[in-house]
Amino acid sequence: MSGIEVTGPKIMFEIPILGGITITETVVWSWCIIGVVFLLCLVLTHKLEKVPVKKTQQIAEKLVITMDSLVESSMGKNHMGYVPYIMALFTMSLFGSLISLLGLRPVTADINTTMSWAILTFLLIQFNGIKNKGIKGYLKGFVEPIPLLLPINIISEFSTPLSMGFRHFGNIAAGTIITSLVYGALAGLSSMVFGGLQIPVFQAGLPAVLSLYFDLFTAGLQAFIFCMLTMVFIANNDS
Amino acid sequence: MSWIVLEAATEPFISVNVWTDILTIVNLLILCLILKHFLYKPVKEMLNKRRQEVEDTYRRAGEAEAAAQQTKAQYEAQMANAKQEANALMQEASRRAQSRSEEIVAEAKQNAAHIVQKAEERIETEEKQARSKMKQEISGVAFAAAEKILQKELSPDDHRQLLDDVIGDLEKE
Repeated sequence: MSGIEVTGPKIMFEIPILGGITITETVVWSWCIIGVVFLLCLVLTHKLEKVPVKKTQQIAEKLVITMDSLVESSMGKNHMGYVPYIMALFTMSLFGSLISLLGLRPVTADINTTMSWAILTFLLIQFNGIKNKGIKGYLKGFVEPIPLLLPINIISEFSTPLSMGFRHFGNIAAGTIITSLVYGALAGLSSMVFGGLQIPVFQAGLPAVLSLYFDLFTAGLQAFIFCMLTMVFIANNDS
Repeated sequence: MSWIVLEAATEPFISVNVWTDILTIVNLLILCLILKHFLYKPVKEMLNKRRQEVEDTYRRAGEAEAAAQQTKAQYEAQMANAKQEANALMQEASRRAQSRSEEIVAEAKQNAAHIVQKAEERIETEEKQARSKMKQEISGVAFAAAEKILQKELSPDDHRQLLDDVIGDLEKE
């Protein structure tokens, strides 16, 4: 198959300090998402009133209440401070995957993105563990129920963010690859049928159905899974 | 197929770019702050304010109801009191009227008795008067008749004898 090459994100530009900071697509689209979300926030919370009459306010309230109840049900009332973080994670993940609908490279199809988030989650899990059990209780947790399990406990602790990061990255990247493979195949089929003429007939239809699954469904599902796992693992270290 | 890039430099499919990692974390934290300050906090504040107001409204309504109940109880007590007073007044009035009417009747009876007595006295007097008048007239007539019959002068003794006889006859009748 000529022309199909599986690559990472494009390097958009390079800031010539500290030995050259390469800014990839991933980061640029993240900035765009931040900008769009910022504007959305301003629109949604414009002139809030006690008696809501505007649709935007109702949407804003619905979002906040849904997020609140989600965090409360999976983390408990004493973790309500995590709501903005979970919100940000969900928003970034969802929008980061959905930009593929605009023909952009998904932010979440970059292993650096999902792994960074997973590392943050990992740090939060450890931080919450130390905060709740004390440094002694936290370390003691690694030799329970028997000290023999220490290596396994450590491995399991590190496998959590690894699996989270790879799961999210894998799902979105695979969707992107499969979509482009199908595109390539359909383009090949078109040129075969029309004798070398590049008339994109077969590219219409099937990719749209695939996009419904890979872009919309997977994007929403993976954002949800990532947030749920983050919440559950952080709250798991409570007792 | 935007990501099939030939000319521009690309990262490998799976690679670690430390700057991307750092910027991704920074971006997530920035987004977190944006959502917190421009969506979560204002909406939360507004929801709390609304809840506060609803609670206030309910509390005020409860207070108003309690006050109304109190006023009602007061009013009912007053009404009962007023009824009692009215009853007492009515009773007093009727009692007074009763006694007054008795008084009037008694007075009237007394008056009537007095009038009857007076009338009787007067009748008695008149009778007496009539009786003495009649006595005089009769004695006059008798005297004249006797004079005419006898056609003579009587001695004063005969005169008196005769008179007494006539009166005595009259009285016997």
